[in-house]
Amino acid sequence: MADRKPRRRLVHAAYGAAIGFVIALAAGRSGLIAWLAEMPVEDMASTALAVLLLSLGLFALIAASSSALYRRMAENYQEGDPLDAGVLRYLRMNGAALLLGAALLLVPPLAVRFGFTGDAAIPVAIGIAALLALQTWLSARIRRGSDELNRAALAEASIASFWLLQFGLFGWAALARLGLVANVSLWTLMTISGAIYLAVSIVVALRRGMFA
Amino acid sequence: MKNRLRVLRAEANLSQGDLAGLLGVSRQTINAVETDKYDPSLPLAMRLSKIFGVPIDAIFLDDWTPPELPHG
Repeated sequence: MADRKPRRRLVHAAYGAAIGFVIALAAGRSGLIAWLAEMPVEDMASTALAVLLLSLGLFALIAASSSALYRRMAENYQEGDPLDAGVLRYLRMNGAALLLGAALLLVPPLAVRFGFTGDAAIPVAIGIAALLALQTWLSARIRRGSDELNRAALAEASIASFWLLQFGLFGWAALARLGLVANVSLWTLMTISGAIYLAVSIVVALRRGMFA
Repeated sequence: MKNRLRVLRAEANLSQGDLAGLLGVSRQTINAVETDKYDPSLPLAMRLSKIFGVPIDAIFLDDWTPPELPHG
């Protein structure tokens, strides 16, 4: 029997392209794109990263919404294979952590954009602290519930991100100190560190066959 | 590290999910070990050895040979 995976992937890619086109069209017509384009570049970058995290989180939550759906979506799933213990719960927790990460990235620039500055920013800061505490608690629970492959991947991604960021930060800081490049804001650095960690985590997960 | 896990699992008529359930790890971990993408911890290797009733070096294949010890 011919392998149906490439054809299925093409069909899924076509669905994805069509959905993306409709979303982009709606965003353009509603004026959202023009509104976002007025943001500083660093805020646009963090918003783009937040949208990516939001999409990944929603995808995880949809995949974990039922065992039948998870079985259909999981690669290399064999008929009759039992689901891993707690796999759906673990996936839901990861999805929730991604959504919280997206919210943490979205709130500060949007709050500034909506005029929450000065004293008006204090309730926003308290909200961010609460979200951060919740995400930290959830991340700790995810780590506790992980098996050794997940923990190894987490450690590997953390180490690789640390070295990459330290290398990049030192390089940029040295050049900025010499007056050869511009200083960058803390928000830009935070966005870059988040993007690098996400990219490295995906590479590590692919190398370890965790999408199998 | 190369290993015979897939063969042993097939001989025992266990799916990846079955074996993962017995060991308390995820199916992805079993898949990653079978495809040489992850070397398991020593405790997990020992549990595999107990499940299949074979020594660890009958599961994991290492072609390293120790250098000859100097004779005193």
